[in-house]
Amino acid sequence: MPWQDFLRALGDRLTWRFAWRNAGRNHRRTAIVVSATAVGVGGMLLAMAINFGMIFEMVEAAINTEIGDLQVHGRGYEDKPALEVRITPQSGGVEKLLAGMHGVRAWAPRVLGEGLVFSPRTSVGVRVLGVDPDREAKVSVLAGSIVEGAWLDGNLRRLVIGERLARRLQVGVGGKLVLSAQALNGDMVGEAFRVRGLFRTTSRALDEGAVLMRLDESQALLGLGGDFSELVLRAQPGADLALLQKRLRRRLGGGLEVKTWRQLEPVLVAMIGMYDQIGWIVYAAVFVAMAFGIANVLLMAVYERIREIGILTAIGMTPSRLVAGVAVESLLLTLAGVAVGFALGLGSVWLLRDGIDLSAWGEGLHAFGIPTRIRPVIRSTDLVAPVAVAVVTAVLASLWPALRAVRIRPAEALRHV
Amino acid sequence: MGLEWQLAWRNVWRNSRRTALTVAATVFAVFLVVVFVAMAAGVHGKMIEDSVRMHSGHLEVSGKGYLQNRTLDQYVRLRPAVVNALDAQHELAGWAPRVDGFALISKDSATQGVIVLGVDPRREASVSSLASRVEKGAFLPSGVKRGIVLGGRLARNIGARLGDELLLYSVAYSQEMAYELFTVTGILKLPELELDRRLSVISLRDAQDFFVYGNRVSEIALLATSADGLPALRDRILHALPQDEKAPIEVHLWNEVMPELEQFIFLDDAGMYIMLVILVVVVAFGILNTLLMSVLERTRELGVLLALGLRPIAIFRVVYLESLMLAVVGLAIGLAVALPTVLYMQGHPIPLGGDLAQATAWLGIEPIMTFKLKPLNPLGSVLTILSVAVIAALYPALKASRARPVDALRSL
Amino acid sequence: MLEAQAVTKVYETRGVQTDALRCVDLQVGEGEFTALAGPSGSGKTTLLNLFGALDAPTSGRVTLEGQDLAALTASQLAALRLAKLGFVFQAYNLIPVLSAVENVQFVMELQGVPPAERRRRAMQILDEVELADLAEKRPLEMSGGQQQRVAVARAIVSGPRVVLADEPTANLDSRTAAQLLDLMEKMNQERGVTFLFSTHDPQVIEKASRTVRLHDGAVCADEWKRDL
Repeated sequence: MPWQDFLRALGDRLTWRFAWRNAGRNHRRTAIVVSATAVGVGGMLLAMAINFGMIFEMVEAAINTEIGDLQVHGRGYEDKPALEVRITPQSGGVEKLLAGMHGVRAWAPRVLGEGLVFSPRTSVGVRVLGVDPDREAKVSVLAGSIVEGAWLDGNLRRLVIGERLARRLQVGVGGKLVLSAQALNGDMVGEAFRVRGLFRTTSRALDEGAVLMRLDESQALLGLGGDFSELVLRAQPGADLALLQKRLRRRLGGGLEVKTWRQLEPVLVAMIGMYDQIGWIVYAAVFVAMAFGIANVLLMAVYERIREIGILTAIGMTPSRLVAGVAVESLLLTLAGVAVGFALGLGSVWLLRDGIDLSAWGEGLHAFGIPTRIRPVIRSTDLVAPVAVAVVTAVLASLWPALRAVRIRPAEALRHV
Repeated sequence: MGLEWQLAWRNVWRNSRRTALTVAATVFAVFLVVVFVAMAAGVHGKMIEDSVRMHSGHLEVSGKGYLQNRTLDQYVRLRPAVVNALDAQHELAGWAPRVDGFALISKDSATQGVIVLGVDPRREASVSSLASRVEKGAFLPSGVKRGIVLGGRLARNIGARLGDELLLYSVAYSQEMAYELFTVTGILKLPELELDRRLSVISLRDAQDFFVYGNRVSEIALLATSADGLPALRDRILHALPQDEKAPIEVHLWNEVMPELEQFIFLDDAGMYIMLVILVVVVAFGILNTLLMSVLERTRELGVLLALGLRPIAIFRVVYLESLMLAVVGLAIGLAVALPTVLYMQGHPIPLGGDLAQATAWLGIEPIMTFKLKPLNPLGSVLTILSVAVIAALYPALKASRARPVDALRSL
Repeated sequence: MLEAQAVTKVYETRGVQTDALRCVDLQVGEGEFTALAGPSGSGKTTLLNLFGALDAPTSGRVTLEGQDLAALTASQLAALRLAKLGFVFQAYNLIPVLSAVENVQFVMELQGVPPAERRRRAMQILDEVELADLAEKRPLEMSGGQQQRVAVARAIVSGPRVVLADEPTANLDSRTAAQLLDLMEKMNQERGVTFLFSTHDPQVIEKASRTVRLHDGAVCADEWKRDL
């Protein structure tokens, strides 16, 4: 079959008009092909959204609760997360350091220490976080996670602790706590505080074992002067983190290390990878299933029109035009199916935007106050694959019957009913 | 009735290519469903087993309120009656009493907050793999007094080496300050980051001395011989243990101690089932389409059947049976292929590489993909696919039964 | 036996109305070998459909042995066809997935005739139509003429009162058509089964003892052939 003729036929308006009319002729068959494609594409979009949605919540929670998009530490902090490995801001402070960095939406300094906290009833070992109340509110959800009492403000000697920690210590808002920690110079220091507020986040570790106080207070308590342990940065939505990291590294110099959330939480990254891999297998399966259905129907369509094809061939239509016609018709039907499938898939994702509530099945978990929802999330990159694969599948699935159609001899076909 | 079955069966095989394609799609879907469910069961089962061995055991004996508070104020008194009762349990592979506290550990000027775990080395080995994670030195050898074993990162952070003396500083049960010198006898390598940074292990006796705990322990981890039937086992053990009016005893299941693990498994399973249902629906749709097409091309034949006196309801039954037969054939072949495959993979887990190996290592699990075929698996797949088929088959059958005898005489 | 009283049939497809039958009166008696003849569009097939309880008139009455067909439900009509009518269509009479003998047995099975009996009767009639050696063959493996003979066998064997044949010879060559007609005539004379044809084949008209001519939906002639 001469390929040039085929390609020429593809470009011919007549072929397209013919294909369009043909597609509209047999409503049932058109409906079947379009709906089969739509269900396949829609199904795949929904499956992708659910698959990714499962892990997206985990990632979002981690970033919003504590990690942020990027973190800066003193060099060597990863290996030795001690008080000595700290950031000493130069003259002009952090503002000067980050001047002109448009990708950075917000930043907050933190002091990270360790200590023991005593309540009248008992004592617990804790992480001590010194935060700037206003800046912290812009980089994490901690300020917004207060369930009782209030967030840190200008008052000194105040702690904000996790709800679970409060329960362990058997203390409430307004209660008294004594914090004991080791300062930078090695001395044990202590101070009395009042509980200002209780928070509840998705991180059990944070809720059970962290106390928050004002940054300046922690610096004074631990003898850090103007230094702090880490700088948390949030990027503008859609910003390129790798690029931002590179620019920050160059700006900040060798004394500091800059890491993205991916480097800070390799477990999460590995899990995303794992989910993606498994996801692809299911998507492939959905498409194979769909392809079978479409191929069947298209084969049928050719068989139905054998007589007509015989007539066309008899009056002089070339095989390549015929194949082009069938291919174009399938393409039109598939595109319609993809469009409907998109509507179906995106529509169901939108309908389920509040999440699929599984608490009826996960009763035990619900009792623990653990969320039992799956919320589907679509990535823009997820939209490309279904379209591409659907189109390719349909065209391939239509070429085979088209090629068979071409081999039919006119006389034989005319005798057919 | 037999006529209808005969017609349906023969109709299924009329167009062998089309039937083959449809059956192939079904086989494919069945195979995937069975394999994926088995894979999830295997992986999750292994996660539970590994976590259970590392932390709580299948069951955990502890004092009232321990799960929420985890302080020294909640304890179990390890009296001889309790020890005997536990030893007498045949369904336990082992039990390990532990004291779970915290302290500040310091070497020279470096200080770090740590978890202090007091264990009985012999009993601990019957439950957890802690002792086997020693990388350097030994795990609390009996000859050394006041020995301590540290997580790898912890040791590195404070610059501690084998033989070094460290000061442990905390608050005892009696509310007095507790401080004591310990000697490093071993360094652990733990896959979980947080534990590797914060765990220090001393002997149970030393922990009870340090915290002035007497014969109290924070928790007793129980390892059962089988992971099945745990709730019933929990009840039996609860009854077997002697009551303690001063310190009431509770027995918890692993998922009450580690609800996050259960949540992860639950959501993971749910997500997977949803995706598999989507897959089955797509396949069912394909079957439905195939059948619809075949009904449409038999309009004249259906007209003849009606003219000959076959009732519409009988035609409905014939076409309906055709759909079911297609589904059943696909199911049967699919299971015939999938079950042996899964059984084989059950005995030969797949070693993981790349991303997956990393993820599992961080979570503290061996990097292999295990499969487990539970009886519910094929049964569940069969039921799901049949239910979908039963519903999907209604439409073509309905369409067929609406054929009119007049169509038999359609002019050519 | 069969009676049409002031029967009118109007078809409507996509807004276009067609008058297939216009106020037709016709009676067909027991034992007749009658042809409804006319060009295409004359309404002969439509009339045959109505007599065969395959379709209902727009107005007027159709009765079979006095029973008004319009009074019956679809289920009852099916039962009626099963018990009293036989059909031979122009083509595609047989169920493709069944063998010849199974096709012949089909209606008897629906009637509830026990297996041994229906097998016996099926083989007997196949013998009569001289196709006993093709008993196990499927329709695809037979010629057009053979298929039609099996169709006639099936139509007769269930013991109907009337056999309705729509253009049974249209796809056959003249020799095979003649053989088929001889067969049907034999059945008519030996068993007394009424035969009603719809046809434009002169061979059929020649063979028929009565010819009702239709034109544009109305009866324009009704000729009885005299016995010679």
